[in-house]
Parts: sequence; C-alpha cells; structure tokens
Amino acid sequence: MSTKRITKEFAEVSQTPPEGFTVSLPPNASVHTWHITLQPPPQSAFFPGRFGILLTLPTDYPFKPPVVKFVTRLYHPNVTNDSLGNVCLGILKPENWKPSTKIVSVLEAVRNLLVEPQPDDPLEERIADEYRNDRPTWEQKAKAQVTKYALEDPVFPATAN
Amino acid sequence: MSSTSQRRRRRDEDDYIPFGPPSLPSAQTQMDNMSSEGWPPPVIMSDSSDEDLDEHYRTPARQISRRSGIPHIDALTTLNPDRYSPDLYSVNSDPPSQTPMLAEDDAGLRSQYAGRHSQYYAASNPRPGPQIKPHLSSLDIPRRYGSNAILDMYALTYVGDPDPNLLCPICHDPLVDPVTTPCDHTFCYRCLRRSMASSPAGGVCPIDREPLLWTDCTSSIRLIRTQLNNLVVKCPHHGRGCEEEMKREVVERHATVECGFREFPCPDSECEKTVRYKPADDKCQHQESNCEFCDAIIEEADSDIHLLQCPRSKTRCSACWAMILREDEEVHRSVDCVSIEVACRFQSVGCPVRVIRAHQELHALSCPFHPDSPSGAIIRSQREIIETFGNLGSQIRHLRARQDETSRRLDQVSGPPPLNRPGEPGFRDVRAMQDLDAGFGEVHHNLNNLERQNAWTANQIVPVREEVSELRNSINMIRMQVNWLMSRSREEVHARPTSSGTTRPTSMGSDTVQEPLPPMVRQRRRSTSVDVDLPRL
Repeated sequence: MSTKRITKEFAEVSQTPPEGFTVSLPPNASVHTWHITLQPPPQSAFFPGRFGILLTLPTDYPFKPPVVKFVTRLYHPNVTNDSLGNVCLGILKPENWKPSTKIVSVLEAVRNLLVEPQPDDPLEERIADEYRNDRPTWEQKAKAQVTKYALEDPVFPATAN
Repeated sequence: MSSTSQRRRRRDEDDYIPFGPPSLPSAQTQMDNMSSEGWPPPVIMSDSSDEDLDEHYRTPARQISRRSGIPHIDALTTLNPDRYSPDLYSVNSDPPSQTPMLAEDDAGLRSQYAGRHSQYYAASNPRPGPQIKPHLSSLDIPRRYGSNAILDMYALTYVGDPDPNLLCPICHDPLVDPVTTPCDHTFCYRCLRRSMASSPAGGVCPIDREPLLWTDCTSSIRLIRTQLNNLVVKCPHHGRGCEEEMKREVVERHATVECGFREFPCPDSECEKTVRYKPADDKCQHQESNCEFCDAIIEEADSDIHLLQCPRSKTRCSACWAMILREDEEVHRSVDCVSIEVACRFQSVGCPVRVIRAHQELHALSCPFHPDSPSGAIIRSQREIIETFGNLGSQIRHLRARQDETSRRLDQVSGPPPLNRPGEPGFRDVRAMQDLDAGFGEVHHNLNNLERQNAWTANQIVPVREEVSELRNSINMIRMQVNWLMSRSREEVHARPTSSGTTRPTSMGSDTVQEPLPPMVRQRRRSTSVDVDLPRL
C-alpha cells in the first residue's frame, strides 16, 4: 500500500511540483528515496542557492514520517551545519507526524523553514543565537555558505539501496 | 426482491436509531459472526460452477475441509447475485438468530423494555468495533497466513480520477470499508487500524491526533459506501490481459468467477490443473505436501486457501488487531481480548454502557448501576420493590387459586343436601329410608290385624261370660238349695237326738259324739268353711 501511495505522491509532485522544487528518483532505486532540489524564493537569505534534499520514506510510510536531509551545507539554525544535514521540522517529529500529511506539505514546510528559520527550536544553538541577536551577521554567513556550496547543482550521494 | 435484500432493508431500519443506544446490536452481531462463518475468503480463483472440472478439483484441501465439516470455500463463494448489490463485501448475511443472546438476558427485565430496547439489552456479547463486517483484505493478514488467496481491495486500479472527497487521507486511494472516527474523519478500515497500531501515542486520529478508541469508530454511512462501490475499477487481472472494467462492487465476483484470466495452466505440461498465480519456477504446483501448521495434506497450489481455514494458522482479531491462532479465536474473543467491547457488568440491572473489556472494571467502579453507589442502592431497592410486587402478585394468584378450589369443594359439600332434607337428616341413604318405610307399613298392617283379632276375640268372650254368669248363678242357686237342704237336714238331726245336740257345746271332747259325726263335718267343711270352722275354734 505504501508503495502505491508513494508512487501516487511522486507522480503528483513531479507533475505539479511546489514552487522552487524539482523532484527526481535516483536511478535504479526504489521509490522510497527521492532526490529533491530546492531553490528558495528571493525573500530568503539562501536565495540564489540550490539545495539538494534527500527524502527517505520508511517502509511503513505513511505511518512513520519521512526523513529529510540536506545534502548541501547551509548556515541555518534548524539544519545541522555538517555533512549530515539533518533537519528539525516540527511536522516530521514522530509524536507530531500524521499519516495524512502529504510529502508536498513536508516540502512546503522545508521551503518555509529556509524563508523563516525557527530559532526557538534549533539544532544549531550557535547559529540560532546569532540569528536572533545578530541577524546581519547571520545573513552574511548564510550567503557566504550559499556561494561556497550551493551555486552548483547539488550532488546526491550514491544511494545505498 | 429476494429475501436477502429484504433482510438487508430490515437491517438498515434497525441501524437507524436516532436517539438509540451507542451500539447497534443487529449489525454488531454480524461482526461477531465473522469468525463463525469461517472467513469466507472472497477471492478464490477457482470455478465452482463447472461440473466437469469439479472432479479434477477434488483436491486434498477440499477433502479435508469436507471431512472436518468446514464449509469449503467454493460453497462460500457460491454465486448469489444479490450479494453483489451496494454493500458487496461489506454485507454478510444476517446473523443466524439473536435468540441465543436474548435467552441469556434477564427475561423479566427485558419484558419491561419492549421493542427497540430489547435489542439494546440483547447486545450483551462482545463487539469488536465498527458494525459492518469488513472485507477480508481489510484485516491485513500476512501472506504467510494465506492472504494471497484474498483479493486485495486496497490494490485495485481505478479508472479515471475518483472524486477527491472519496479518497482516504492515508492511502490516498478511494476508501475501502470506510470507518468514521468520533472526530468525524473517515479512513479505510485497514489504514486506520494500521495507523492506530503504529502510532506511538496509541489510538489517535491520523488527522487531528484526537485520542480515540477503535470501538468508538463506526462504519461510514451508506451514502459514502454506495458512492465508493459505484467507482469503476479495472479487473485485478488487467496485468494478465483482461480489459474488463466494472463497478467496484462487482469486481470481486468478476475476479473470482467470471474473469477468463484468473487462472494459468499448470507449468507442468503433464498436469491438467490450473494455478491462480504464475509460479516462479516450472514445477508442478499440484504435488501434495504437508501443511506448514497442521497435519493436513494439501496441494501447493491450494495452500493459501487452506491457510485461511487451517485451525493452526493465524488470523487477526478484529478488535485488538493481534494475530491469533484461528482455533483460539473463540476463546480470545470471549475471554482474552481486552480491546473487544463488552457490556457493563451491571447490564442486567439496566446499565446500557458498553466499554472495552480493559475498561470494564474501571467503569464498574463508577457505574451508576453499581449496587454500592447511592443511585445503585436506589435502583436496587426499586428492583427489590418490583420483585416484592411480583412476588405479591404471584402470591395473590396462588391464593385466588386456592380460594377457587376451596369454594369449589364447599359447593360440592353443600350441593346435594336438598334431596335428603325432607327425610331424616341422619339418613342419607334413600334406600335405607325406603326399607324403613316398608317396615313401618308392615308393622302398621300387623297392628291392624291384631286389633281386628282382638275385637273378634272380645266378641267371642261375651257369650262365654254370660254363660259363666249363668253358671255362677246356677251354682249360687244350687248352693242355696244345698244350704237349705243342709239346714233342713241339720234341723232334722237336731230334732231326733236333741240331747246329743245340747251336750255337745258343754262336753266337747267326748268320743262318743265325734264318732258318728265325721261324715257331716266333712260335708259342712265342704260347703261353708266359716260356718263350720267357727264353732270349732
């Protein structure tokens, strides 16, 4: 069943992707791993960059939330600033996840997170403090990382499966 | 139309209870019969209508099922056109009867709650959840336990874009066996169960995360079910080449019975039988082997069907969603399952509440019908009064009966006397009375006779008396004559011997006087003793 829903959702997302997203499936892999590229809207500090997102859907999706990871580094309070790129997203927490949530909603939440970081629920305390107290510095560093990492097409890791 | 549809209509009316109890016993019993009907596996890709093939199909599995008295799947999937009307797989036949359940209840109490309420009180048996029995594929039975033989209603391919409002929020496909939560969200039966089973918070609504109990969910309304059943789907064998499209409500019948693509010839060219699925290798699928769980000998191709009946195979409890041995199912439902909905312990005194078994004791503590609670005490006293009243009523009836009996006896005693009253009170026997009457008459008669004899005798005596008087007179005459004669003779004697006569009073003892006298003395004494004796003294 999950495969059916995932296939369906992928068809929807790839046909009418939410603004700024392009979605593709990695070659020779199951539908449980999606390669997503996000271009944030102009009002975002991350604007010109293009960010690779690896969306992994558990086998018991939609009863378990999908896992979202940035493959492109970014200077963001809610994304670990390392090669893992873990994202803290409220709707993806197991206690908040609803099986009725669609992947489109997850993607839109990710985009909103880039437009408007949530420093009150941070993964990177330091960046969150900086975001709260010294917004220009944070924007400067964010843009620096964008130019450093995010101007080229994101490179997705070879899928394990 | 047919009796089935009439029954269904009746059930629908039963279902509609505007202010009725939370549980709908009539439909609920259907759920309970789920197991007793032996899980009619809806999709069995064999043809029950073909008589010629039937012999070939007499497989060990079938023989086993016949031997063990389990209705064979073919019999369960027998074509009944009416089965495929709006509710299709959601509707099973009506429960055999509700009477066994009714019998368990307090008859006296039930009689006070006629009609609808009697149903209400009849619902004492466990209830696993939404009333309408779901399709077998909704129970999410693993392949290992034979689900391959079940048509997966959740895997159907729909033609065109269904109304987005009919989609399940979880699987994003048209709803199958729709179930509505108390917070008014609707999901597929299987999706909601899976969600509740996998949710870390336990039973919560997948949309608004409201806590919910499975037993509080209900089957969605008929309007939705009808709409869903009218959706057009492709034949599940469209991958094999079938191009049929049909309403969802008849797809099962098509896939099971009608579709020409439902079977393959056995890959073994020497075997004439067919298989339902394309096997992975070219081995014959009709070699007998032992069932994985029980001792039955089955053909490989029929193992799925067997697994859906095998008592050692597992099935899912529709209440707690746990996999249980099929042979343990009854015990599980009646004793073990904590998620099954049961009636309050004080149902017999009127508590209408139904809770899951795990909460039964909890509810009992706060139940207003608990005998130790204030309201329970009132209820109990009222019931006692009612009971006393009933007892009094029966006592009155008893006494009336006795009174009737007594008065009947009295009538018996005092009834006959009018016949006897004219006669002697002491003599009841008419015959004795007659005897006495006869005796009396005889005596009377005899008395008359005697009187007559007496009179006659008296008449006879009168002349005798007269004669006696005459004789007496004669005697007196004679005596007088004799006396005269005697006195004369005496005078004569005196006249001749005067001396002798004078000497006698003076010389009394002279012998000479006495000797010639004796004859005379004797004569005197004979006639008058006084006259004679006096001189002697």
